[in-house]
Amino acid sequence: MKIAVCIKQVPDSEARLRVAADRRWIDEEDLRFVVNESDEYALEEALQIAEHTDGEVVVFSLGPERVREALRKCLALGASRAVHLADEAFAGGDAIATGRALAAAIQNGGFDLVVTGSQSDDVGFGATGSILAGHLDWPHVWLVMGVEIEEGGASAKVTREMESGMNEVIRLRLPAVLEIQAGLNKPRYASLKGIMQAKRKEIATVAPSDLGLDPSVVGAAGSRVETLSVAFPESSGGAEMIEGDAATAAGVLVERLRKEARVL
Amino acid sequence: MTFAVWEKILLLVLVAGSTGLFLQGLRPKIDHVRAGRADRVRTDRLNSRILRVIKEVVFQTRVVGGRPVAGLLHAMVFAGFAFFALETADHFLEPFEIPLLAAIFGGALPLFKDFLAVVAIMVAIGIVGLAFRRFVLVKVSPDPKSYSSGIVALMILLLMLTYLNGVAVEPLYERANWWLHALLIIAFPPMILGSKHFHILLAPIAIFLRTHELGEYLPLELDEEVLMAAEEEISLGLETMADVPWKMRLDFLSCVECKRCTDQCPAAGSGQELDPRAFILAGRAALEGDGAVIGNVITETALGQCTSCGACESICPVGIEHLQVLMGAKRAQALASGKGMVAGDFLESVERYGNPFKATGSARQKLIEELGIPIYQPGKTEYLLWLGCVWTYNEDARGSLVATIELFAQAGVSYGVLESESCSGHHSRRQGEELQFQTLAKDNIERLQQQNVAKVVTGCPHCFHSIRREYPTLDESFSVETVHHSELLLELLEQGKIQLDRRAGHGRKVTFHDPCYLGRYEKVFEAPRQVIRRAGFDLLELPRRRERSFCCGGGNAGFMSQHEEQNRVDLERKREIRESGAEVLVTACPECKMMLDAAVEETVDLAELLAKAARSPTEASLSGQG
Amino acid sequence: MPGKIWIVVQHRDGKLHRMSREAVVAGQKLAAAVGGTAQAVVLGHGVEPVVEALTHYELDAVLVAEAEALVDYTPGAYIGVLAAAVAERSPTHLVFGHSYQNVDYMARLAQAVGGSLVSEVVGFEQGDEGLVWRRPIFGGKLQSRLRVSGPAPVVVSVQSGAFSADEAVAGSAERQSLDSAAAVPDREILGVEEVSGEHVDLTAAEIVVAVGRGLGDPQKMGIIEDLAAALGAEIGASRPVIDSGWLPRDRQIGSSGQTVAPKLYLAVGVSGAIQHLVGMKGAGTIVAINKDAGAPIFAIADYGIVGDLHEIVPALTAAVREAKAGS
Repeated sequence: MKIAVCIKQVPDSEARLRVAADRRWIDEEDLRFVVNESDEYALEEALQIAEHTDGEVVVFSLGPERVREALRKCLALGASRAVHLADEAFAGGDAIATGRALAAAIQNGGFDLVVTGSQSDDVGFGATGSILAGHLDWPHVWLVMGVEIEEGGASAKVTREMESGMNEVIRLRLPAVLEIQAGLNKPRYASLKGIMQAKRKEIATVAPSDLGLDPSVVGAAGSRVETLSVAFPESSGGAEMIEGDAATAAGVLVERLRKEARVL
Repeated sequence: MTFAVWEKILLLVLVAGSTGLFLQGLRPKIDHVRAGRADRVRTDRLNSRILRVIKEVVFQTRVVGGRPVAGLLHAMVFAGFAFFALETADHFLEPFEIPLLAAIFGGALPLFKDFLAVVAIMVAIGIVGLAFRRFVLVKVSPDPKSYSSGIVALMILLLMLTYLNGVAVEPLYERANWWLHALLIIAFPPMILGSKHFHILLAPIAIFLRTHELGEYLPLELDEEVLMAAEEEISLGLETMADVPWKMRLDFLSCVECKRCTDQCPAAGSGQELDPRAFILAGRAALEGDGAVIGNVITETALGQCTSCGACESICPVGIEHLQVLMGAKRAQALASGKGMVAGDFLESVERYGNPFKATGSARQKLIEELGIPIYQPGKTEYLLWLGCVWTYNEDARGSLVATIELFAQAGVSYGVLESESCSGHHSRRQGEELQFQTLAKDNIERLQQQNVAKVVTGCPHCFHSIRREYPTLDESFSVETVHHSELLLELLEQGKIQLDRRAGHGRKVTFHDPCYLGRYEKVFEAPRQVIRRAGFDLLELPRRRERSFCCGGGNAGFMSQHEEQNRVDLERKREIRESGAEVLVTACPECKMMLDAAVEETVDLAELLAKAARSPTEASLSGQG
Repeated sequence: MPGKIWIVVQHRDGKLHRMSREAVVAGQKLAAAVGGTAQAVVLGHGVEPVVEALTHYELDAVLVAEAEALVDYTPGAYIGVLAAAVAERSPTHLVFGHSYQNVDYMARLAQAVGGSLVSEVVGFEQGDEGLVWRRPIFGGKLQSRLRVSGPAPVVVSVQSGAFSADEAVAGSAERQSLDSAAAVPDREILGVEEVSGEHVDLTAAEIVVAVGRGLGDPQKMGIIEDLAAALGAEIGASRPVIDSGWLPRDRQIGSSGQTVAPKLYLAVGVSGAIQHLVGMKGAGTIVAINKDAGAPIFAIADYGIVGDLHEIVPALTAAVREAKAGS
């Protein structure tokens, strides 16, 4: 099977974030960027499916120059080539514009399956995969916990996480878009051999015109959701220490939890 | 006895036939070994190798040490074989009327024959004992019951009985007895080819060729340009059987199936899948093909369970290097396939942050400032205190570090830490990630050399082993004296630099857990025990201790994440610790401490225990005046 | 243009999903903020109890699409019905609870109807900058403020717990029917399975009481159980507690156990070793009770009490019971 995997490069989860001077986004300078967590699981799932079906995996990512590093890592893990939606015009898109761009890049590639993470660790809309599926007019499943390819690639049995500790097992026709929940497999490690082989693999760079898209329908220009500002939420310092004897402290704590934190 | 011509001819034909069969059977085995990849030099330091053979083969030290009763029986049989060599030669020369023994012993010949009779009785007892143990005492019997070994045992017994009959005052069926004895010997060489008794031939060779130290890994050539140029030809660990070097092939053939390795393995002992003997025997079977090592020799699951504790190899009586197999397979995982690794996250964290705790350098800076730890001054400071990741980044380990620096201060030790320090690379190497290990090690070597460090002290046995034993193999110019804090603390006690109030330890029952890399790998067994005793505590020894210590489960990066759900190594060890009746568990490894925490009332590092008994400097000086 | 807010509810076994009750509150508040009306939308088959419950809220209408094809959720059927209804009735906003089922299809719905999407909002304000949405980014480390322009509708999901279901305004609403002809399932549902039989899924718990070795004695577990019962919480534990056999392993939180992110996390006698912290630092509100004021857990807690847990926990249980009885 020919499988497309969409990945996003996001700041390392342990990174100390700073708000940028214009307060519209974070300051990306000196930040370490990594492959989004659920996308790592998506890539592993795609690689395993490709291994079982004698297929190949092509990785797609949208973002600035730094994204090449993430794509290179995916190539080291076993993807056969990569496509980088690198043009400035793609930048600043909302989920719908980004989904449109990715769909255009994938549309005519002869893919049997798109696999991507369920949610990005930075913005976290959990939407790009479903929207991509909408643009392609393929079925999709969000929060995938298991995949079994059936009928030689004509359909797939997919386990989807539901609330309250239940999973739903469904069957859908392929091609389809699967949005993978982190934890469904054990992602492989980028081996030295893989890293060396990746140096010889291709990363294609595409602009909107290469995809037959007008620059006004992608990126910030094609988006309707605009970020006005970002900020640290209030009251994220150390603990507020509650004094007094046991009964007093317990009373004050319950009061705080009800009125201030509003969790009771 | 005189022999007819036809008897002489028959004997010669049989001996020639036996020799032919033996050589024919030997041939494929030699081919298997010769097919192996090039290996390290295995004939250096000849004296030490010969001494080792004398110790372990002639005096059977490991055989007896690992399993005293069976070992002693084995030593009896082995001694018999050695003494019987001359008798056997004499037996075959007898028809040709060449009196070999008479020529050697002259008038003392009867005495020698009597001595041999005693030896024969000893061997008979030995072999019957071994067979009884193997086939009757099911519980301790190694399985699978090898029938060929039973037949060989029976042959040895008959050999002894026919000898005894032959030297009796009135032998029964003297001629038949003579022939039976000869035939048994003639049948022996072809027989052992297919049985575990083949070790008689291979064990001394494997023991001679074994690495000098436990877990001596050859650094891989990982220069990127060299690798790129060499393309597919460079072996990155044991991917397929074609990558298996010749000594490892010899090891696979040498195995005597005694199962001591498996009995000693903490993973196997906790009910996990890993079984050292099984993978050695699987390696033997896999010699026939050129399949993948992972899957044919050892499963991914079993490989992930190895904590690299070295218990299997350290007890092997026939010189097999289990660790080389495990390391080879792990290298193939990390460097070639990347699949099925249990601690990929650990390696990613070390790659990104330089430590497995995902902590930033500022956390270390803060720690140094808060505790007022001095920075190493070249030319002025004596000891470089190597902190290691756990002491630096794990809040729970703060007490161990504080106790250590307090004791150093009290004893007036001149010490300091580096401005920056990255992971020693110990666990990276154990995961097979040789590139990460070498990168980290070379960084650290450079840091230490820049500061002209001559002496390193550390509380972490993992860092200790890598810095002391492995860094010098990467860089010949790297030469520092590396000690574990237990050794330095003992020295300070001996010099009287730490004042003790022995009442602190009075009546408190403590036990000590030997960390693998301090004990088994670096042979530091006495220092921590002496510190405990000098501090006035009652030391209760654990059943599994010293060379035979049982891993805490923290190796293989297990101290950062539990790889196994069930049958955990740490829980098995904790059970043993609880049953010892001790109130305090003393460890001398920050990782063991993390794993074994809460086993009993209190778990402390050796330094913390000593600090409890050490009087503060003021107190000490006050009592000095009084 | 006055707002026409649709609150698309989720239900199971004739009951409204908790997050949908919160979504009703968000929808009512949104209607008040932008000046308009709120309507509830129910999709399914045999949904009368749900519709009945919704008619007691202050809503403009309860729109009901009934069809056998809507018995089980599938995105094809749900999007089909809702897209047709949106085309016919032109709502300005569609409000969802940010539940797994809703996230599965709402983004695609937004795209299908030519609208916009704002996912997992925690609040909104109508002001000089227009209607501004607030939502967490970077796993809650930061918050962003968003504004939407362009054609309606705006599809919005609200984060669990961001709005209190208690604040719903009661009233009455009239039932109206929606056309359900476009309900065409696009998935074959083979079945539902429990993730694991004996496994305790702490990740689903809204409140977790985690116990550490500070408890000192497994016989004292009763006070923890009482507190958990009062709060309606699951009990979790740090590694030493599990290793000592005080609680089964499926209750372990941390690097070798489960990773949880409940609304409220009470760490009782937990020192906060790094292996534990990685498993719970995503929790909404963290309360730490520990006798050691220097315990690392206090560094990441929102509220802390230093003292003997054997006194504080029973007092807290009493205070919680009292507060619940009073509300």
